[in-house]
Amino acid sequence: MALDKLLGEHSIVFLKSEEFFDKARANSMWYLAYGIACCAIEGLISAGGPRYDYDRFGVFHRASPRQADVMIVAGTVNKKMAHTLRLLYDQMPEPKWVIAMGACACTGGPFREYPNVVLGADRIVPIDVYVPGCPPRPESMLYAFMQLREKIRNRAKERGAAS
Amino acid sequence: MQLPDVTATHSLLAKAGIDATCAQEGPGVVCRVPAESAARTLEALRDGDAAYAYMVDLFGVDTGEGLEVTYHLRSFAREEEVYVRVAADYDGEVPSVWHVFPAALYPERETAELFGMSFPGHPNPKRLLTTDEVEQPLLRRSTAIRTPEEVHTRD
Repeated sequence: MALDKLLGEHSIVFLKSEEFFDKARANSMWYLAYGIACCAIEGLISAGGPRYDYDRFGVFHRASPRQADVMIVAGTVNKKMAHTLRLLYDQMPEPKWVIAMGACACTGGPFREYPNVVLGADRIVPIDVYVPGCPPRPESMLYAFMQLREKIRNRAKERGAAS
Repeated sequence: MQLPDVTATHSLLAKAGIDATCAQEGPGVVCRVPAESAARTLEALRDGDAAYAYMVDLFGVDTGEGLEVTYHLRSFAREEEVYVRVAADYDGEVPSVWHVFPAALYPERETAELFGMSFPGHPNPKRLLTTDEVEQPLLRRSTAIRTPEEVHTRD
């Protein structure tokens, strides 16, 4: 085990259970493969492929919202898709996080003037990380996951300080 | 792909008893016919000598004065393409041509929804792309888009 290499063989670690869970959560963020526009090619497919390789951070794609921790809203959300977005978000188990990827998911993007487009995915679900770009590069999605990781770690720290 | 003979196409349609005006316009040879004879025109072109057996596309245009529906046909026998165009009023009607070209089923639903018109005779005239919350026909010129203030404040 990797912990053995860090701490020596047969070592014993004391930590609070929630802290332990948060460590696990920060290191295995499984995202829902939910591509609704061109951003999916950069953020889900290219970044998940061998060149950018999400897997080394423990970030895998899942085909079912019931197995996912993170949802990447990768594309324009229109009024028809808004129902599906909310439904999938509601099906994900707690704790869950959402990344708004690209200009469309953040504010409506280049389609913001059209009456069938929702002006940002944050109108439908709470967003944790906003990624600008049209589309963002796969590196920026990696950075978004690092930010999310930081967020989870900070939450664990705050919780530890409070208790 | 080459242009079909305008006079031959016109005489073919005249023989079928259709009041058509054929001319070479922007996209190619365009035959304008009355809306009620659209299906008969397509039938005559499909079964005629040139055998326009394939419907490439069906689309609507908002010209500013009214709507236009264009049927884009292709003949593999002669490698020719022809456009049949009918005019319709806003919220008007053009009879469905799905019994001539079943390929028209989906584009007719799309055109009906996005231009706010109807194709009587269509077996399944439901909306195709948007939901009930989108009430305006989105591709009409009169459909208002969001103002810069609305976009800026995201209301």
